[in-house]
Amino acid sequence: MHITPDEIIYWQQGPVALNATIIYTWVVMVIMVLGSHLVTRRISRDQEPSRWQVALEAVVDTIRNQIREISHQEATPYLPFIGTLFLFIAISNLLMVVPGFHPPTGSLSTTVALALCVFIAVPLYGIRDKGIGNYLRQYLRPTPFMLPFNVVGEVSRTLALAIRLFGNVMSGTLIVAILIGLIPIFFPVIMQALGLLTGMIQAYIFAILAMVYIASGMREQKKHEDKNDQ
Amino acid sequence: MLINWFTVVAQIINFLILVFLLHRFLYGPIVRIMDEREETIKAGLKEASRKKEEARQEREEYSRLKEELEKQRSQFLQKAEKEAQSWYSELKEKARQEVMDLQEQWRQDLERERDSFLQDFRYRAGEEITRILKGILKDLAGRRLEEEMVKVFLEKLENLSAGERKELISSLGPDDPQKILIRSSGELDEGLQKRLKEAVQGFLGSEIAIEFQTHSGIICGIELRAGGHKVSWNIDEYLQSLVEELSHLLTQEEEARLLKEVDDEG
Repeated sequence: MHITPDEIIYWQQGPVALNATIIYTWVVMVIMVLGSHLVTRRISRDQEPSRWQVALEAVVDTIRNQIREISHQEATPYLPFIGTLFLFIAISNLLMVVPGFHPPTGSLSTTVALALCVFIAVPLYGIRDKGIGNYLRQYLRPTPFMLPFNVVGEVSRTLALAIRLFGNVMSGTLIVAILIGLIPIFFPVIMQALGLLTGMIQAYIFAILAMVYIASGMREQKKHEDKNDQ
Repeated sequence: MLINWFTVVAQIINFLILVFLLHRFLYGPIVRIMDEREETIKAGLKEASRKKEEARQEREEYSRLKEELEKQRSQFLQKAEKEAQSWYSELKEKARQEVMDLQEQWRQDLERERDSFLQDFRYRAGEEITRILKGILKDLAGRRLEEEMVKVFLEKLENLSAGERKELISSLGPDDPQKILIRSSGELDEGLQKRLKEAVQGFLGSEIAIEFQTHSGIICGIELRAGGHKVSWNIDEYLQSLVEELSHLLTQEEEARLLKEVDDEG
């Protein structure tokens, strides 16, 4: 039994190792991109939308609405990043029910990678929106003495983001694996179903928190600017 | 160690690629289509709103036109009613006039027929009376009607007043005396003609030519014509009395019938 799919290595050449995490990430990527392409390749405003298109539109529209609600801003700039986070984690977690599939989100490396992306995206969106000076100045508020605490807070919440997702998915997978060993009939199915629910909730939490982190910095900037204006 | 840093880097790259690909194949087209559809719906709603406003204005315009038409219709109807009433009165008057004309014509026709009937009656009655008188005279007194007629005529001629006789003689002319015409209802035999001739010539005191004729217009009588004067005897005045009596009776009967018709129509 493997705690993380990183340990399942299919091919290795020096430090370069193709493990289950990378392979199943590619599988998820292919499914997502191919599915999207199949649905949207003949998309047209005049035609009656297909069921798949309506489903995708519903998903995308829901994500946009969530982003709008949290950021109180136009969702378009954040949609590719936040939407991809949610969809990637959600689909990885959903595919957990497929026998033999190792969800990439069960790897701490993947969750750390995603958390790092959020960690980098937060200042990037901030700087793009308000400029580098204004963004960096917020670490010095309310006083410059708070700088270490602000930095630690930034890093720790990124770490928490990564560990939370990894812990939940890994635990779910492990519980099912253990229960199959103990009670092979019926009970693992319930746990699998609960795992699906947990997986979806985790995807939602990860994406929402990412958006909250991105938006919170910008809101602080806005509040600060409003005070200066007054 | 649970974190494989090569995998972390690879996953970051994978994630960025996925962001790009999904932006290219999913979010881009879907958002574009949704925005376009939203625009279309907005444009459709705007268009619908504009059309609704247009429809409202057109409806108001049509209501106004309808009211105007209704008003015009009412005016036309009133005018037509007046014209019809006038036409009706005119036609009624015309019809009444025509009826009166017809009635008048009918009355004239009736009078003409009555006159014609009375004329015919007078002639036939004269003929019949003459025939009866001839029979009566012959049966009762063994006399001829013509003889009695000549006798009465000659008496009348003898009894002419002096003035009348003078007028009669003077009408014959002194230098070129015209002939005298004696007309009778029936043929007079030679004896009667001679007797008349002698009597007239004696009465006039001259040998004047006398011509004898029968004339269907004279009813049982004799007539002497000289120039513009005439001396005659016939039963015409008796017949005239009979015809007048008959005419009076017919008029009374006709009036009674007309009154009855008027009562029936009323």
